Amino acid sequence: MMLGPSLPEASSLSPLWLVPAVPLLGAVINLFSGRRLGRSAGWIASTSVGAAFVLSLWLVIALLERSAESRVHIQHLFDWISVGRFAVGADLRLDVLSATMILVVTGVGLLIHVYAIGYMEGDRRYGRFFAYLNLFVFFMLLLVLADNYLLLYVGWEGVGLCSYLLIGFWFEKTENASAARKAFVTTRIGDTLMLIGLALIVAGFGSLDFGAVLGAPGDTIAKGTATAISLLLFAGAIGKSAQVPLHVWLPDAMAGPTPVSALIHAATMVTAGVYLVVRSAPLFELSGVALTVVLIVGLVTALFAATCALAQDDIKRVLAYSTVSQLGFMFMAAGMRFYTGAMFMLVAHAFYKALMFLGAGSVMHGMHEETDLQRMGGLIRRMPITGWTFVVGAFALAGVFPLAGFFAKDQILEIANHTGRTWIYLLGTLGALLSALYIGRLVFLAFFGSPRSEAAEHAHESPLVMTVPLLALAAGAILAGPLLSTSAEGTLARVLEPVTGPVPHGEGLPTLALSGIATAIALGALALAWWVYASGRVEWLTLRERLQPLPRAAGSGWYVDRAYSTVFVNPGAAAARFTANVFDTKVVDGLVNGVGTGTRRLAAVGRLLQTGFVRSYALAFLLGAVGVLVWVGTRL
Amino acid sequence: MIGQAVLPTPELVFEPLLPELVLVVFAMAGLLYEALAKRTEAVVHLSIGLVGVVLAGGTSLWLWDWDGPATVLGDAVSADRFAVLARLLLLVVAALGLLLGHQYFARSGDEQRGEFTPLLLFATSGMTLIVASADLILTFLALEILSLALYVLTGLTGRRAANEAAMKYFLLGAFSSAFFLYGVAMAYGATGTTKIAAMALALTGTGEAQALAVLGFALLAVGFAFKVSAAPFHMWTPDVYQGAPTPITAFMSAATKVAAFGALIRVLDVAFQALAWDWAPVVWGLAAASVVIGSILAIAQTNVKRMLAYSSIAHAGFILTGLTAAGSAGIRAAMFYLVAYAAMTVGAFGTVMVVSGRGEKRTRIGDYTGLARTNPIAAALMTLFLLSLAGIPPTAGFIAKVNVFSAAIDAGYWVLALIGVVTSVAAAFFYLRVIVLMYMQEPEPAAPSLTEKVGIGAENSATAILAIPAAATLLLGVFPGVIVGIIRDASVLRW
Amino acid sequence: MPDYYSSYGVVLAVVAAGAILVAVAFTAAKLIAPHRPLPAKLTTYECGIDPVGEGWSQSQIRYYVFGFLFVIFDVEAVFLFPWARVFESLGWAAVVEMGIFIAILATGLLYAWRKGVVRWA
Repeated sequence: MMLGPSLPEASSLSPLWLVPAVPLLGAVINLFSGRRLGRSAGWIASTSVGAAFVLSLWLVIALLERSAESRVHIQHLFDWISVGRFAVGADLRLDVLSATMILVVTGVGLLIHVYAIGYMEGDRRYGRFFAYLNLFVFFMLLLVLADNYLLLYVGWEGVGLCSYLLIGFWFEKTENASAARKAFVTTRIGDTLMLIGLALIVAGFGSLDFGAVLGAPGDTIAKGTATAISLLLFAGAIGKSAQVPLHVWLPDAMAGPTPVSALIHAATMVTAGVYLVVRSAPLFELSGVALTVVLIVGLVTALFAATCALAQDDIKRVLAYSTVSQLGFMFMAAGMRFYTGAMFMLVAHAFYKALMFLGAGSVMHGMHEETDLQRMGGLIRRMPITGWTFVVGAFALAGVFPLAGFFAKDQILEIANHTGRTWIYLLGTLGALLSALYIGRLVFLAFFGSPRSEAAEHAHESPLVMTVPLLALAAGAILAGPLLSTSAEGTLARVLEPVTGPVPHGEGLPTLALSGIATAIALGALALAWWVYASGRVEWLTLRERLQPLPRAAGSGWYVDRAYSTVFVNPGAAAARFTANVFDTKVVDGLVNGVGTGTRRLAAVGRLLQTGFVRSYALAFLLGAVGVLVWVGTRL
Repeated sequence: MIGQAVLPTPELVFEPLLPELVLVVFAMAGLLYEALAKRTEAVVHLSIGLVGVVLAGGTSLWLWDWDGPATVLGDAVSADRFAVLARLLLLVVAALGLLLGHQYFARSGDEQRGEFTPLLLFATSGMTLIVASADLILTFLALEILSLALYVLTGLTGRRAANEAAMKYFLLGAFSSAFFLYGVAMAYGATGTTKIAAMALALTGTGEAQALAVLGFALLAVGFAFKVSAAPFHMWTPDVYQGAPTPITAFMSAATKVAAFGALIRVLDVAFQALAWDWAPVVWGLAAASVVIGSILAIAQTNVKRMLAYSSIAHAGFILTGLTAAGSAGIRAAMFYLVAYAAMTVGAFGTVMVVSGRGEKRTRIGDYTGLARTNPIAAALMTLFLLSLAGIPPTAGFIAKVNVFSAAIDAGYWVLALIGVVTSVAAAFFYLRVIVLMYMQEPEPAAPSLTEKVGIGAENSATAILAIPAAATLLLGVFPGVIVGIIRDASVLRW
Repeated sequence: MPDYYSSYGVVLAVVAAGAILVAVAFTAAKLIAPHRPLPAKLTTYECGIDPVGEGWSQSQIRYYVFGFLFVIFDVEAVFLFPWARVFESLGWAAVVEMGIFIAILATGLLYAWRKGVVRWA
């Protein structure tokens, strides 16, 4: 007999289910015996993610060996829910899009796991940390491998849960616990809207399978429905990917351990929103409105967050705002239907942003948890590996040729220009300028100039287990561009085409001219940053004082948090108090108590029948039997 | 002429009866051990019981792929997958009952543990026999085997409440047996046979004997309704469930329902399938009465065991709701519900056992105040089981309810489904009340921590046993698909 | 069918005969017997002992045990007699089965004996 799930037909891709299963196994082992394992917990976790990476690599190669049209493999694990005619299976889908994602998740994830072995050294809940980290990788893989929206949603909520657990990992500090709660609640707004979107999909298609929903959605649903579904899904993406106006949780989420920031809040989880939009592209394309909204939200976020990043003094908060801004660029690309550009930026960003987060962690490690840029300076002499790899990451982000970020940003701006969106091109270029400026500021303040504190003078380089991942990520940041995508129709774009459709075409300025402008802007901004922050010719603190209140406003994220607490949180709390004290006690409780009392009275009467005497039970039995017989008799 | 009138001897194929034979042999072994050994060890009894149950389970599994005749021993025992699945479920419940009982008697130091294992095995053999029975005489026999063992188990501790419960159970049980037997006689009168398959054939396309058959069905239904504690034949349930030792309550609340419903399904969907239009309203009425009475009366209870007893009446009603749909749609819904119900009710009563302490002193609902502080694991387990009993996702109880309601609606009984939904909402009140008490109120200052009373070891192992039903409750709630295929295979009755 | 019902006619005749017999006997007694009412005749026992205590009284529990044991062996005998009549034609399987049947009952008896159920005191 078959008690287990039915195994699919054998094929070279049939070990697909192992990809999420192995990290899950690691999580289970660490969760239940993490305390006893001691240091080996980290190695177990890293090995499980490493195994998943090797497996993914093997599967992706097998997938690419197929012809372009047949690069889809769907693995049915078991029937998950079947109620009436509505059925959802636990199905995994490996196609070029999810292949890209699993490589990023397991590859970057592996390096971050190894790094964390050194970084978390000596923590009280060492095993627990790696259990959560493995669990996160499992849910993330589930999210990107899901073949239906429900399984995707399970992964989506799962990564949210892990994010919550890891942001508040050092929950002894109140500020960490409240940051975790803020992240959870804020993303929940998006998630709830997304869930409504899923309900609309069920109503419209009678199924949640990607195959049924995304095949030819125009045949089944009207344009208005498509707009509604797309916008609701995008609301989920806004929450998860920290886009305006739900971006407020990400900077606070930096309270978590730095490997968490690198893995969850830079490389993987926050990009789930981009993945969702790219995956659901056929729905979005049905409605021009939805794509326009994606484009505008992306553009606004990219610019807005860049200005905030420019004024942060906390090294991790600079990177957090930078992540928000970069995600905005990805959504811009998706909004222009340049999905391959969004995906390429996602991959490139995973490398260089993870690299910089880990570098920041290394700096904190060498300086006794110092995060204030004002107290750094000249670190490159003390920590050469951390410093130079960080410079690579920063240059990649700024868009210096031939690093990954150059190609990614350049192509997005090129498509904007070539599809006739001149304003988008100009504003995007402004965003690129700001990016180069804030990252140049960060690099020159932290690593160059002279040390501005005791700790900075005595900083020390981190151990090999931390610096090797930095070097590997730096290599990725350098090579990702030339290897994957040297032009808008490069290797990655060609591979992804079966899922994402062709790259939009158009006429505009020649590619070479655009590249020249981009390079000039990047180098100019970096030079400006050097002049202000590291040349020693400008008193940047005095300059900042003279520009007040601008830097203060930008530093606080343009007071969005304060506005939210005035507009939503305080009235909300007041309303909640009113509800709890007046409405609930008087009206709701009154109603509930009324019903409750009524039922209780009824129950009390019923209890009288339950006398405890066998003879009365037998009488009731007899009456029941007579009742049944009489009833049957009347029908004869 | 005498001597020639010998009945034709049926071919003796015993394999489909192997699980019962194994159980009885091990029960006898337990009896002999108790009778002959100078000093008996509880662990030996437990081992005998568990080995017996596991072996019986192994033979049942082997029967899954049985390719012999559909019924054996003179068409008295059927060898279909339905019987296999029901048996496996019963055996798992029996194993849990054995483990919980072992803990219980070790804790209380009662003398009577010697009879516990053999009696439980005898009861289980009756239950596994009844789900495989294809002859109403054998059904009656199995019903008596399981009932007699359960009467004694109920009064096993010799406490006043237990004795009273046993006596009530016995008297009313005898009463209901009479109805059942009378029903068998009527059915025999209508069809000239007691074999379920032959009855189905005899009832197809006849008009003459219908009246007698329907009358027979009604009487059989009364007998079964008593066993599954469906209203209005439920009066014994609260007293017996409250009075019996808690592990035995856990065992019988789950296993008796599985067994009696297993037999009822055969009677409804094979023997009387031709009369579906006549029996469906009877099932409808029993279901409606059970969900309403069970849910409403549970609210007034102050004792947890009694509250769970009323809840089990309501659950009998939900399962009957699923059975209003004739054929394999109803069987599938009912089977899933039985699996889910077995997991959550064993778990709930098991947790009650852990909390109640030696001598079952703490079974009032008030004793659960602040349990999350004094015993967080038990509180968490209880919460899970109560949520499942209330039918709140993501637990097995939710999926089970969805299944029975959709089966009833598909069969056209949407009013019944509506009654079920409304009473489910009312029922949630008394489940959630316990959860609120456990989590949102401080424990009474006088309430002793459990560990002081029982010793950490005993409590931990009892809690570890409960991990099994807890895991099942969650697993079936999140991945109901894992057993859908098995139930689909088992929902075809061979005859 | 008339034959079927007429065979019940005998039963009916017996019932009627019985009823008539009793009725005749009582009527005759009423007519013949002398009528002398006395207070003593209203007591429960005319032999003179006044009834003491309640109507409910418990009988010795031990009698139940012997009652049960008797019933068990009685039932055993009920099964044994017809079996003894036909076991030749049923073959060895029937012998073995009856052996198992008796062995099971014997186990029960052994258990009762070891647990001291059959000891009187």
